[in-house]
Amino acid sequence: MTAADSVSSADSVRGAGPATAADSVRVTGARHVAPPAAGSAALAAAQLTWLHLRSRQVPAALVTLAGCGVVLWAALRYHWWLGSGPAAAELPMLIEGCAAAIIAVTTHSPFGEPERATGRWLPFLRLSMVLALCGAAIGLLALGAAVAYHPQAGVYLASGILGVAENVMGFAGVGLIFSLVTGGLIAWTGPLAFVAVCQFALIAHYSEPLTWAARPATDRGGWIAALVVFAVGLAVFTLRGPRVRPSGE
Amino acid sequence: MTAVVARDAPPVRRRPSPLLARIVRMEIRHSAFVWAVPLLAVLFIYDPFRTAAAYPGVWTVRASAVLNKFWPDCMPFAAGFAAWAGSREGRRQVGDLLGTTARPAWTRQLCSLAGTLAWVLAAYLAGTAALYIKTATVATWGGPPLWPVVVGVVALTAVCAFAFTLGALFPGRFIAPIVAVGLFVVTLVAFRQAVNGSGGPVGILSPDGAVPPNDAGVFYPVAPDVSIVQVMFFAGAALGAIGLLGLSPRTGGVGWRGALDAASGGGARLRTLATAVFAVGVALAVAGFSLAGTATGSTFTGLKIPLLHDSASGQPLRYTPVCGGSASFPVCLHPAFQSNLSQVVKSFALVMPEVAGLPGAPVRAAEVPDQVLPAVVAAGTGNGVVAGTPPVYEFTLDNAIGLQPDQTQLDGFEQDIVHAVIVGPIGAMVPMQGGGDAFQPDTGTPAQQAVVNGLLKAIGSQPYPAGGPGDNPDAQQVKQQARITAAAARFAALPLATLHAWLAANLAALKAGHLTLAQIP
Repeated sequence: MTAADSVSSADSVRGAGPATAADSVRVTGARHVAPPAAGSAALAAAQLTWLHLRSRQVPAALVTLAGCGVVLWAALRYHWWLGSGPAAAELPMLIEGCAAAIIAVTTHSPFGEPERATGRWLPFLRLSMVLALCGAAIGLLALGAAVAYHPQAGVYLASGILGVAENVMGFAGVGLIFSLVTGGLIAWTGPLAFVAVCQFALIAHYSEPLTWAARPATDRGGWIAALVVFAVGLAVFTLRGPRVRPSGE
Repeated sequence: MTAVVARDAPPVRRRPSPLLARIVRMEIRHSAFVWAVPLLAVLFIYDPFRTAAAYPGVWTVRASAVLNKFWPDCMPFAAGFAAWAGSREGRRQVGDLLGTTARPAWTRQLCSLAGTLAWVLAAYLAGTAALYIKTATVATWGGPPLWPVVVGVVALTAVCAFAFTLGALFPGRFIAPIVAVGLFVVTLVAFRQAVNGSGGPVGILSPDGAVPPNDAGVFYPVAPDVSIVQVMFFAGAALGAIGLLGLSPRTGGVGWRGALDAASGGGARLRTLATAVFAVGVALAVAGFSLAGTATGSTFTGLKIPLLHDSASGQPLRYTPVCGGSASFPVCLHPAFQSNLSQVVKSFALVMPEVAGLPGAPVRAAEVPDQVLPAVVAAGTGNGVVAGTPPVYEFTLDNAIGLQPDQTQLDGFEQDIVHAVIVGPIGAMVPMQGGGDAFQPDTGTPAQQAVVNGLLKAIGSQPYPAGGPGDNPDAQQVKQQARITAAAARFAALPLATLHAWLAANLAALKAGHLTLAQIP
């Protein structure tokens, strides 16, 4: 290719003839990305969501949450711990705490700070992910309890689905708050410590609303406390995201 | 020349490498466990410290909080952070990079494990020290038991080693919470077996168990059999996990192939060592588990393991009782309960003037081990019995001093003495059809019940607990109970001097069952 050929090619791109003001407008307009069609926008959104979920290892988290449901089923079915009264709530509470710990760990992003400069969708993705995981955790635990349900044999979840929902959301709220302090990967310590406190409250018959898991699932004060913790955790996590530590963890 | 120099050179003495110490120090400095320390501090104050502070000031009882309360606090965090440390290389995918280092992966991993373990044990020992210092300020007899500390340390080491190995085998961001909660569930299930007293080895091996009776380790030493078996099992588990870490190729270990052949190539010495550690660990754990299955109850010293039991450990401990009360009715306690002496003396002060001089009334009270009292005491609601000539009220403080302080529990002494003087023995053990014995209370005739409850009411005590008509009384029983209550109220309204005089004159007839309710003044 000669220099003359190059000039000729360039001209064919710009259009033949000398440049005009109209050409300038045309070139500037060409730099804008054409608005995508509705279908491709949805595809892009789905792809973005999928990438976000994969980067947080959400598929593995769902498998682990399903494992929690299986453990709850086995604990009920094989009478690992039934007890009566408050004692009946100990093991389910621990499994609900595990589910919340999984949700808390899922908040960790492998990309750290650079991801925060990528656009305005990140808070929405965080919010959606946590809500979806909480819903999945409640559903999978309820499924485990439902499969094991056998009231004639005394096999049932004493606190019912209400207790599962209250505890998973409240403990997850604690985990989200912890993720702001410790980072996502160590945020499991929050739900775990809180479950330990609730277990002691349960055994010792302490009854503060903040230890809602030690109160009946229908207790209004316990629900208010759990939902406030969840709402605060979710709001702050949505806006700020988990702490990014210098080690990347 | 070179050969000569080499021959003449003094033999190189290998000193412990400061490198390893440096690596361990670095691991301690960078351990993530530091995040768990404030949480553990909160948990420690919230439950173990607060609960132990409410227990009677007896070393054995308060020290039980170390394993029953504080150990379960530390365990999930120890497991979670050890698994987290163990999964580090796999999580960061630096296995190939670290494979080029001079030291074997096992050394590197053990340094990392030591870093986490140092934090865990420091936290555990700090909490234990705080509990023991607090106990030392209130205990009046004995000294700090060391077995709970040793068992806790070895069990936490086993938990850390096991969790670390799991983390190394299955690295990932979810391994820490899964291992922490998984081991928490196992602990909870083992605790259930320990508390239910099902007698299985799992319950025996659980460090977390039931609170001992108030006089455990006071009159007789606590046999160390169960603690020895627990240490054996957990030490074995720790060694097994460490051996597995050194052998498994997934964790960068030397591999299983040729594990029993010391001469095989590729880290033969390391393989032999790891195999030996693994084998010793498994053997110890199996031996501990098997021995735990042979545990049997011992009358005085708790559970015993026949193969390990030292019969000399069942000898009673020497002590000089501490006594209080009046010269006419001395009350003696074990010195471990010295702080309760004034309370106990006070609980006798109201009842003794009313029954003094009556036939069968005790002339003194002495605390004895729970186990030497008749079975009816434990089966019923009493704290002791009046026995011997001259009569002595022998009692235990097991039920009288609750784990949560409650002054009304001391009313049991008054109830025992009044019942013994007016009615006689509290009941008897009768054989059941299906085997075993059942407690059959002797509540006395209606007149006796009225006098017992009236006298108790007069001195401001609770009525005798076995005198009620039951849960589903029929109309006749309700009517009879109402008459007894009315008679008791009438009797209680008498002046104490009149009451005592009436008892002195009518006790023989009353005790023989010759008096009716109508004859009660």
